[in-house]
Amino acid sequence: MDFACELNIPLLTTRHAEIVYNTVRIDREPKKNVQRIEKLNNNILNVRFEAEEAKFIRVAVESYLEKINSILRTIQRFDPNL
Amino acid sequence: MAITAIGFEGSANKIGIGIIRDGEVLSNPRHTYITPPGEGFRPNLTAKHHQSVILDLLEKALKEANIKSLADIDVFCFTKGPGMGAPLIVVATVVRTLAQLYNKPIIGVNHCIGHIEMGRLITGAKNPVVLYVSGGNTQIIAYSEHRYRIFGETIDIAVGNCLDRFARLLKLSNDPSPGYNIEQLAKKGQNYIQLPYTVKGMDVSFSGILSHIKTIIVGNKQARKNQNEIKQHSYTNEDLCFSLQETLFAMLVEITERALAHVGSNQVLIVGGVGCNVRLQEMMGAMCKERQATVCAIDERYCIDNGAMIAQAGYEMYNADKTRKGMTLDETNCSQRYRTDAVYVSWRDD
Repeated sequence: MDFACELNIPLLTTRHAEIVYNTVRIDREPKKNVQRIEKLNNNILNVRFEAEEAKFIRVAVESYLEKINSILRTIQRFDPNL
Repeated sequence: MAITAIGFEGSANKIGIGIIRDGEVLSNPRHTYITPPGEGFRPNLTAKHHQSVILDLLEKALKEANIKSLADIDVFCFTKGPGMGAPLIVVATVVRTLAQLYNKPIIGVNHCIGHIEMGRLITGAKNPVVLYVSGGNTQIIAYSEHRYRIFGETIDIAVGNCLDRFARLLKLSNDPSPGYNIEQLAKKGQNYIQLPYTVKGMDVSFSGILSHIKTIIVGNKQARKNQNEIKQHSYTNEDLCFSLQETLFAMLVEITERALAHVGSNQVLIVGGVGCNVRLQEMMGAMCKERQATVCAIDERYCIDNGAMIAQAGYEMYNADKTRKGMTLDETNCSQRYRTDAVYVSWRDD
């Protein structure tokens, strides 16, 4: 794979990070041309994207960040512990 | 112990959230992504729509049900499939998050089974033959030994898809839905235009009819453009709508009747968005009358995709599961293809 992109997303707490990680890792990448590998380090979510072309990565990262955004907005509005 | 279930539905252009407690619908708000005339709804934009609406809709559902907090809900249900990938994932993402925030069990529901279980709840029909007709699905279903078995289905596109794409050709409004506007125009149709009739045993096919009627419409447009003397009489939109409905619905009535005969049932339950169509209900009623059978039809609140139907099916699944654990998170992945008969119907004894 020629192109790679690595994201490190810090979350407020370990609990939040676990929730985000457990939610977002379930669905596989819709296209086979992008590989996605996720790891959780305490409260930091580490995601690595690999593909043959840069545009595939761009699309994958864009939709991934939208998902993270959606999860964070849900937590912000409905977390009983906040 | 009363069980309260919340259901999230977003497999197509409707996003709905419904709350049910022991068979009583407490709330069922819904929001539809309506595209301009001539345009269909694409996965990415539909997903964006759902994402922007879902949290407000959730608050609305809780408010209407008079429920203060999600902590008062016992089980979170959502559509696992079938449907469009991006919208399904948007909804599943929010539900997984909520289920973890409140530490509640989560259940992924089959969309078709959601329709069936809601139909059974609302009409009280014991063991009907189900005609499931919508924009995305067309199936004849009968229950047997813990499975909703598919007796017949479309071999290409759904009947609702045929109607929606036809509406696009005529640039009909998609508000409230293309099918509704076709139905209104059809009432004023005067001439029946001969269209292909494609029933294949227990199955049906619609793509050929769509191509055929597209040719007629394009031919009409050309002739009007060139102001040619048209050899055959020119067809109005009303005639086209009328003819298409009569043909499509007659096909559906035929395969339903075949299923009734096979199964020895005397009840028909129509579910799915196309089930709102009064003409379809009439034609089905006429066939049923001849066989001393009855049609169970439901109104547009529950025919069209809604959250309560997912809550109801999820409630049944959860209630039948004595461990009350729901699904593991890994099992909550979405799939665009999810056959109705793939689900083990644990909640029925018959």
